Amino acid sequence: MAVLTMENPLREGIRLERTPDPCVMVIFGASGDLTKRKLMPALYNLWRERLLPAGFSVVGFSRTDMNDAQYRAAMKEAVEQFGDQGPLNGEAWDNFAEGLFYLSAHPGHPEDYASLASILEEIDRQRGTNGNRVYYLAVPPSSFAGIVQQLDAAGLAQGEKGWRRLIIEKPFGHDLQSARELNQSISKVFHEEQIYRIDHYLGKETVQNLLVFRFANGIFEPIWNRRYVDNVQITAAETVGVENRAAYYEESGALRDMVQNHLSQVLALTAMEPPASMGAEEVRAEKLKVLRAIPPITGDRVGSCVVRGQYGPGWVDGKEVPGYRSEPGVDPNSKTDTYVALKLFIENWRWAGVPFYLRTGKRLPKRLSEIAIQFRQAPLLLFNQTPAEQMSPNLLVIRIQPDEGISLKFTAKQPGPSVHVRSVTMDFRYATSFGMASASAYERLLLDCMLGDPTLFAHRDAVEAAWGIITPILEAWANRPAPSLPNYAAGTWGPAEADGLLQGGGCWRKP
Amino acid sequence: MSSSSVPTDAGRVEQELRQLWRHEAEKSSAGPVLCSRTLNLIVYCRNFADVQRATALLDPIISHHPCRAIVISPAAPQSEEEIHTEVSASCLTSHGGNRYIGRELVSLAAKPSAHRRVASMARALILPDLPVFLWWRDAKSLGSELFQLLSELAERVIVDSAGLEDLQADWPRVHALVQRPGLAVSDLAWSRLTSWRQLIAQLFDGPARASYLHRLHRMVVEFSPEGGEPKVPADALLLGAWLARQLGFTNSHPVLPQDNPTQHAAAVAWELSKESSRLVVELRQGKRPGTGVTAVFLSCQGTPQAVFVVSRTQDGKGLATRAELPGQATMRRLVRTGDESATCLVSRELEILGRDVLYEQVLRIASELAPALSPA
Repeated sequence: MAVLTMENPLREGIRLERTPDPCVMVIFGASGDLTKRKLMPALYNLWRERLLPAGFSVVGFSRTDMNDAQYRAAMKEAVEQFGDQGPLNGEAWDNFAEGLFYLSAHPGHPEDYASLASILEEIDRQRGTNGNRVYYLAVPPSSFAGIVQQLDAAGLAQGEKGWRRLIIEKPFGHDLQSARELNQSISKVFHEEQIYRIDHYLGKETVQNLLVFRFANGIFEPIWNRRYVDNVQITAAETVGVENRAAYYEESGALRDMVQNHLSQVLALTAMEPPASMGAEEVRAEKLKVLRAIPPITGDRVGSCVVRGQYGPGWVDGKEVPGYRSEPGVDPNSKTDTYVALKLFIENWRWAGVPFYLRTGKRLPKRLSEIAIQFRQAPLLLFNQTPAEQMSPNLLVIRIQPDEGISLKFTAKQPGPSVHVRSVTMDFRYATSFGMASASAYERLLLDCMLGDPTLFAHRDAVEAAWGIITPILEAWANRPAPSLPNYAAGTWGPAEADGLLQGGGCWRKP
Repeated sequence: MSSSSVPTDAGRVEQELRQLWRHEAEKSSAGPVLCSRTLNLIVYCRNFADVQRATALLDPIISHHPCRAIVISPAAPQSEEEIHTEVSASCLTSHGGNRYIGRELVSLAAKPSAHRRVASMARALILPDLPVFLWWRDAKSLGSELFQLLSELAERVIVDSAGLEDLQADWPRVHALVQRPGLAVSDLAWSRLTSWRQLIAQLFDGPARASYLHRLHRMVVEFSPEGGEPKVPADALLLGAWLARQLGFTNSHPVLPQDNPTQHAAAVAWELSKESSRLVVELRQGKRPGTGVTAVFLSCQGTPQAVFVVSRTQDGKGLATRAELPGQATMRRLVRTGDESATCLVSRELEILGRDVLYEQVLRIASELAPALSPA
């Protein structure tokens, strides 16, 4: 975990709170959607909650023609629209906004980086940020390499004073080869420990709690293995369609968009061995071992282990919705996958033979993400008065969103003279159990980056290992005819073929 | 919620609680009632009115920390019973709407002659394998016989030194508490200072700012006492002691306060030393709205002086900071105050099991400063 500013003795013993060094966050793509919807509301919340240092500043770097005042006004509007605060208290916002600056600039023009350097030096002088910088690339991946090179050429990537960190957003490449090329081009300028690949799933409270749940409780780890676990199902379901991301999604699809990053990271956290410590390197090393222990699905096995789908028209949450091919910006003959389900195995002593089922899709009946650990059935059915099908196995469900929490299903006797049993669920929900809202994933991750804690960020090796699993599937899809698409109606749990992945007549959870 | 008055006997109380649970389960059409409890909370209230206030505060606390709460108070003077006992149990509906988490409340109103008996009942009612917290809501009776008996049952005692009437006389009792082995102490007056300490610390983040700490020579803590009486509140004393402790200043001796803005206001000052450095800590009554600490001024040696200020906003909902540094524009910041309600403060303390070593060290320094305070 991060080390606080040790030269400040007043920090000692202030419990629960971590505050980074004063720093400047330079946001490339400062007028874009991500900045408005996620970054600025998260930064403002952190500021209000006293989790950012007094001198914290933002420099927006974007092509849109604006000055500081206009940028501040635009960001205020964004925080009011997308934040959870409603109308902003004038004084508090004004105070935060004093640290917002804007540079109307082109990411390919060297002279604009010289201007950026001057602004940063001035902020250092006026606001005590001491050369500490976070560069947030909220731009398409195709721009990453160019910006990084320009930062290097302008002398902004490294420096004698303060620290420099780089945050990049997924997708980290579009296959193994491109991921390697991207990593190589960035690593020519920034060291791996300076690079923070953000995956907002990992900032969610339940994902972090997964480590605590597994490694701070003595009772779960002994049964967290092939002897007791029958299968693991990881689901990331969305009710929305492609929205305004058709251009991106047509190139990406569900496998690249969700499985390569979010689901593979969640899988790794679920299956990893206990790390030697909770240090970033130790945790990331164990996650990497899991990904490397998954044999790629190649050739004909793709047909039996992977199901892809695309939604047709249907009804979601009481509303009639069009099929994917009728969405604006989508090719009417598109073969893009909006759903994918996979069966994976982890070839190590802990998990050999245990199937891990991953599925994700758009226009599914509910928005939710969860990990369901299904334990093996009791070896002998002693309670003859209860039909065998009513004897459901123990199930541990870790909900990532919404209603973050954990539930355990077990069997209990119904009161009465006869032995009738039924399943009951023991529920733990963050919101009710602790009665407090968790910080948003972006808040947590931005703060972690400023604190220099990379535990919840993806390491280059893990990104490449995940692409190593995904790329053979993409290649197989490219070399064989696509199934008849669309193959599931919006508002259903995906194509029927997905049921065929489950072993022994099992079925997907319908959460 | 189900409740009933029961004979004074721990076994009967348990029996009654089981009855209440059964009653709740029968009312529920949504399946079994699940019981979730994370701790035992013993609450001592100073009188019946305080029991009502505490019970109202307990509802949200218990929803954060499912527990068995045992509320103990003095019996009404006209009561014929040595101990009057009531129990209640209630359920919380989870988000799903079909499951419940339980909470239990046992109220014991005892005459002074029944202190040993009520303590033994509390001991019998404590749920096993769960930590025991004692929330002592009557600062004046800290150290009393009943306090001694009940604190022996607890791993952590929650007190509020802001309720002490005479810091000079009462402070040693708080200090004595933290010296008891095996007992951790939470002081709500200290908890209220968390936002203040955090903001003051942030003013000195970064090597450039931290260097001003070496030149710090004066700290003024401005306060507004509860009820307007001109006396120094515990949190002001703790904040002064905290800064001294963090910067390594010791060897205090009283000095005359420099500025006393109002003729009748309370003010007290000490000079502390560290090698060749001197730090004056002054606590003085101010005119800002609110109670407790309302502003902190830190000044550093040099010309012109560097000044750092943290103050409560006029509406009391926020804290404003200001840094005036030579050659730089004044930097201002406004943040909201952390939730300082008793509910929130106690809830936070219930999350902590270990000792707060920093508080204990600050308390020791505060004890050294306290004799200079004027009696109320």
